[in-house]
Amino acid sequence: MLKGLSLRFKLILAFLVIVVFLTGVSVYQIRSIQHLNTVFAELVDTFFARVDALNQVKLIGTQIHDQTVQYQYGTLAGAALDHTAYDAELKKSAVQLKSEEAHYRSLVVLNDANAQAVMEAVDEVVTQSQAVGDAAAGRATVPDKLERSFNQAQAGLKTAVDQALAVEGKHVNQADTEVGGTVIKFREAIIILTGSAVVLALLLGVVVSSWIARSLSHIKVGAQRIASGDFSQPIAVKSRDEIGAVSTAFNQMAERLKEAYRRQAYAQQRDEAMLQSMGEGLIAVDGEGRITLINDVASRLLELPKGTPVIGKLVQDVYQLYGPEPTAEQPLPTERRPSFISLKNGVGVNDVFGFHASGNRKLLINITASPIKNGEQVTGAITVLRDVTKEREVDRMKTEFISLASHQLRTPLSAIKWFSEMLASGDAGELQPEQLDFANNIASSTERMIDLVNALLNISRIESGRIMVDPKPTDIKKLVSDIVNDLKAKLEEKQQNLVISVHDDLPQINLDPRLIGQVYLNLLTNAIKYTPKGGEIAVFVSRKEDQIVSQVTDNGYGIPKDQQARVFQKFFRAANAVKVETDGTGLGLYLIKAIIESSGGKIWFSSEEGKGTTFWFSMPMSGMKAKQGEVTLDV
Amino acid sequence: MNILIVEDEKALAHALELKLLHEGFAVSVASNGQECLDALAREHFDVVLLDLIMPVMDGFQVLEHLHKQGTMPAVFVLSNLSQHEDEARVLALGARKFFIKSDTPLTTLVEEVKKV
Repeated sequence: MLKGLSLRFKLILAFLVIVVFLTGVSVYQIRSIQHLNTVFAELVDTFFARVDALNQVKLIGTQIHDQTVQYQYGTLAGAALDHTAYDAELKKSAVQLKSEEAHYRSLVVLNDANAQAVMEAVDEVVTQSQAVGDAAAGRATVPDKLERSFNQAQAGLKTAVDQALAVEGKHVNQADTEVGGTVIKFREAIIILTGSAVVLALLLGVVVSSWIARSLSHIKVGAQRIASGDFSQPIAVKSRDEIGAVSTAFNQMAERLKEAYRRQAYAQQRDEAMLQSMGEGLIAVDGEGRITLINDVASRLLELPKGTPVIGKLVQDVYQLYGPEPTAEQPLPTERRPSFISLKNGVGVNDVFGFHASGNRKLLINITASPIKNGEQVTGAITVLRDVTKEREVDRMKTEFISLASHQLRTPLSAIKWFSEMLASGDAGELQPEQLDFANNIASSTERMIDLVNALLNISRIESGRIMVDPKPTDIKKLVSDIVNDLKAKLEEKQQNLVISVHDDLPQINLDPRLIGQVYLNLLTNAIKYTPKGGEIAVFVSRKEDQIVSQVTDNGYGIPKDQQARVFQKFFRAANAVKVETDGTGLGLYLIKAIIESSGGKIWFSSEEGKGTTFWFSMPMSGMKAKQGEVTLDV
Repeated sequence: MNILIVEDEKALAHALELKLLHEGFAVSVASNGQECLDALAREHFDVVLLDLIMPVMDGFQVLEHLHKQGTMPAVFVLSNLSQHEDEARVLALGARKFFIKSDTPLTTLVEEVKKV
């Protein structure tokens, strides 16, 4: 029944039980004290009233005695005493005595023996005092006999009063004993009740706290189990109170932890798999350059003997690097190693280094080192190693192939070109019209083939990234004019009008005239090619901020909208262009885009089918950056 | 005008020979650099059409030799090597002009020869 209650209510309930019990005990105690008070007050009231009354009787008795003694002595000394006054005093005292006695009697229970004795003694005194008063009124002296009995009556009164007082004292003692007994009885009851309240409180406290402790220790065991990574067994939820809620929360936490552990384990396995399956070697070092992690590829690449522990060793003690040139014989000093540079300067390094492998093989390794940063502090570095020996070899072979192809393909093409040229020009005798047509077809197809070979050669050169860039101060106006001059024949053939407008105050800019010339040539050739006879072509060159922007505009066939996105793709030719001009490789724009972008420029265009096309390209005013390349483009 | 064609490719040498003969020039053919130097030693040539890549001795070596000798006829280099540095190198060695064979019509060559 208690299971459904919250812990707070359970505690409140326990304290309520204790409070109710203690309240009961207190009420009992208060009532007991009140009872005692009543008994005692009653006792005190009646006792003191009676003793008072008795003392009053005694006092008046003494007064009568004093009056009489005074009178007696007066008469004995022969003074002329007023016996009438004496008589009156006596009478007055007797009345007083009687009234005090009556008061006393009213305080005692009926037929009280002491009161009876006192009453009788008072009556005797009153009677005697009357007799004495009468006697005194008649004579000068009171007869001895009368005096004696009067004294006796007075003594009797004193005795009776004393006796009554003694009895009252006894009563008081008796009441005292009675009260004492009651007090003891109450005290015992109070001790027992208070004691049992304390015991009950202790008991409840022990029960409640041990119950809480048991529940908590149950949770503690569960939490320790979870902490040790065992999620198999949830904590049993035994109540719906706070403890139960804590258990539930713990179970939820364990569930989440389990999921997080699972994910972490997965991530770890995934990272491990990634690390081991990646094609590159990977080495991580700490801030001092000690290896903290190395994958199999790196171990294999660096020919580290299997089973040699390298974790914790300084990277320069594990393998040596050399310069990339094959003649390098001395290992690089530690401060020139990529991981060291990364650690020291907090920057990335990407370079090719030599590595001397077994069997006197000299490998080329591309190493990318990146610092691991914790805020500003460099705490380590990651180095990725890639064997580029073969790649470099392939690169070299590609260059060789290009030169070979340029020689080998061009030789037979040259022969076809020249023989068909001679054939068409009638060197071997005048040709029939059909024969001439054939010869011209051979010649134009050969030209296309030559263009294609040239374009492919240029593309493989530019794609190799080893194009030489040789900038020199260039007068753009002259460059453009020279190119237009070369194209004069074609322009005249198509009766096209070409306008050149170059900003007058344009300074000479550092450009590679061969490369930029190729760009203008290509754009202008396209404009001529894809603009119908009698069309308009314009070249504008102007300065915009820190850029030189060149514009080549025609009012030609334009590029269909749905094909515009592919304009710079290799081998792309627009559908409408193919129809009007079978000539063309689809490589020109691809090539010039590569040229422009490799020199820090941009190229873009706008075109509408049937209306014309405008190409723009920009070059920074700062010019092209010189680059020591190994190849140049065919122009 | 006496012209020496230095070309190891038979078809190309033949085409050049035919064209130049047709144009009325006196033509001799050498198929490598060594033959070229031998022919130059034997007789006088006004123009040499020189290929670059040839067996036995290549065109660069021929030019270097002539350059050293200081007896340089009008040399037109005809090659299918198209690298800028090749062109620069032959011009530096004293060649008149550099032509890429596949990009050059025979008529252009004839005009150049006639200029000499």
